Amino acid sequence: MIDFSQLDKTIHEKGRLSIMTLLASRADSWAFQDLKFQLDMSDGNLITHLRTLEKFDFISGEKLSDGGRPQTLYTLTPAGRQAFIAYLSVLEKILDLGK
Amino acid sequence: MTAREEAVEQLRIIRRVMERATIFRALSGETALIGGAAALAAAWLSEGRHGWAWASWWLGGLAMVLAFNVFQIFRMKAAHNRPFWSSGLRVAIRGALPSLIAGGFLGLLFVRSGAEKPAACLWILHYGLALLAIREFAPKSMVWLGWAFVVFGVGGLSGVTGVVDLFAQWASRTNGSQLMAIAFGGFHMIYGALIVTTATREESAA
Repeated sequence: MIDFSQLDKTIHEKGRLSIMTLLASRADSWAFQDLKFQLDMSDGNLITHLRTLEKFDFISGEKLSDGGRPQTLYTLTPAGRQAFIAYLSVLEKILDLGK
Repeated sequence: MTAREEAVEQLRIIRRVMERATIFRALSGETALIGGAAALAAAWLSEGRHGWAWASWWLGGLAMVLAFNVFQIFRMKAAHNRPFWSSGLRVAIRGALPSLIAGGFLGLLFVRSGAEKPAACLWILHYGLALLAIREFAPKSMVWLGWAFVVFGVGGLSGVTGVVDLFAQWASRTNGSQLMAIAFGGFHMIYGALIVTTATREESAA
């Protein structure tokens, strides 16, 4: 029986799911300000979610400060991409069961 | 909420985020209005001129509108504290550039031989193709604008070359400036007015 207990709880939270989706949507990395703008989150909220995802090695952040303002660029790690695909796969199975 | 309903809700979040992330409005409503007005002015100033004298008004107008569009994008990015050179902008340029280069070059070949009408049709057609090249991540209104240019460009070319009698009769009564005024002036003014008055419906993610 497929249910939500098989879903990755780290990704399942709406804010973190949105972050993972954005990072999975492009091959390029995302700047903190771009994530903030797209997700309409406060700095504190976004940082908390990013740290959680970093702790689980789902994303990686790289600090850049060459030239202009310092900024942090975030990308999905291979483990994060795999976890995201697995998460989508479980969602799909749940939907298939309901047919 | 059942497991299925919750799964549907999670997928809805994913879809919404994906859509927001990929929509990029390369042409703001304000730029379209300025571009439309510049095209009408260029049409008036280039009327009765031929060859490079005709094209120089259009190329000058293009340079002015491009500069304004860059300023608009820069202003919007600065307002949201975001970098100018975003991936959306890069993808839009990569998608549109081949059509713009090909159309620009072909049009200039006809300008060189003093044939303004086919030059105008090729510029109109390829500008429309450039807009359609970025359709996957453009708002629907820009896709409609692209199709309007393509249909008008193809119709104009079929008239100018005498392929379709109905269009040929109409094309014989127009000149290059009028064709450019209808497309780059008229279409942009209509698009710009619609975007400016319905701005919240298709919020720019540029």
